[in-house]
Amino acid sequence: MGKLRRIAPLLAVLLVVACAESSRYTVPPGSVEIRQYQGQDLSAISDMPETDIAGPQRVSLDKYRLKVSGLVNTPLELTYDQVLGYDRVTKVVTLHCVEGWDATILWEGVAIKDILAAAGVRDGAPVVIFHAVDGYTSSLPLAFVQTNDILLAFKMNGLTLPAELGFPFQVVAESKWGYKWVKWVDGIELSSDTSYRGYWETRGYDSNGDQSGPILEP
Amino acid sequence: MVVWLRDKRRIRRVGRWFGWLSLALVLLTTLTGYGITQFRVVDPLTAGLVGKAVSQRWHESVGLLVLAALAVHVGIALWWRLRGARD
Repeated sequence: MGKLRRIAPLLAVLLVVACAESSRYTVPPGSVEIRQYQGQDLSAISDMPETDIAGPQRVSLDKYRLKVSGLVNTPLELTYDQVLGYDRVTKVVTLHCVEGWDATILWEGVAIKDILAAAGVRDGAPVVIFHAVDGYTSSLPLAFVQTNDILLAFKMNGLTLPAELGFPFQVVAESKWGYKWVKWVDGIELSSDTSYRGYWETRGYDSNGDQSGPILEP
Repeated sequence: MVVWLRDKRRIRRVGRWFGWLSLALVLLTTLTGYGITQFRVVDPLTAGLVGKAVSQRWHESVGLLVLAALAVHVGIALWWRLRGARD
């Protein structure tokens, strides 16, 4: 009993820390996270660390517009609901971060190629640049986006993306390192600049971002 | 060098140097580890010298050096202890 009394404060601290950890992301009350999908175990959203360049972004849907610009026939400015109006795709993809962690998540989103088709990509635009509300950018080859059904996700494990993890939209750049998975996306730009480098790419990370390739530029 | 090392106490001194080197490398590993995950703190604290990519590069390179330095340090310490027991 005496021993228990001595370690009680420590247990209390651990309990508080554990509770803080498990509820650190903004999830709508009453919503239930999917933890298994078609026999496959999924990672918990709360296990995903926050990775951002300027802290979590709080995006107001009243003002939010997804801008599709650059070398397109019809520049678009889509509301959140308009994006959700595209055909929805669901798939399990594992995010591998250069920091050494990974998370297998059930993503639900729209195929970026559908949005691009609506805008009409002009010839000579092999690069898709993603812009985020915090100023972060990264790019993917257009051919990669189109052939791999790359998603612009709005749900993870059945829950709307928490504000801390990219609400309203995150790129699910499967087979690419995590820094290619742009969060808080508010712009998609078609470009002819094949030497374009995004935020981390200009700071030494490999511009291809392939998991099978190097993390850093040689 | 070999002549200098003939004095067994000097070998022990080298072992100590490797101990300090191991400690410095462990600290560097820790700093660069934080530089990868806590880049928003480490980058400004080091005036931009230890950014995320630099941290990643150093962190990946320094691992084997830590092991090597630690192996030399422990190896010499064990040798000294066993030698002492023998003498």
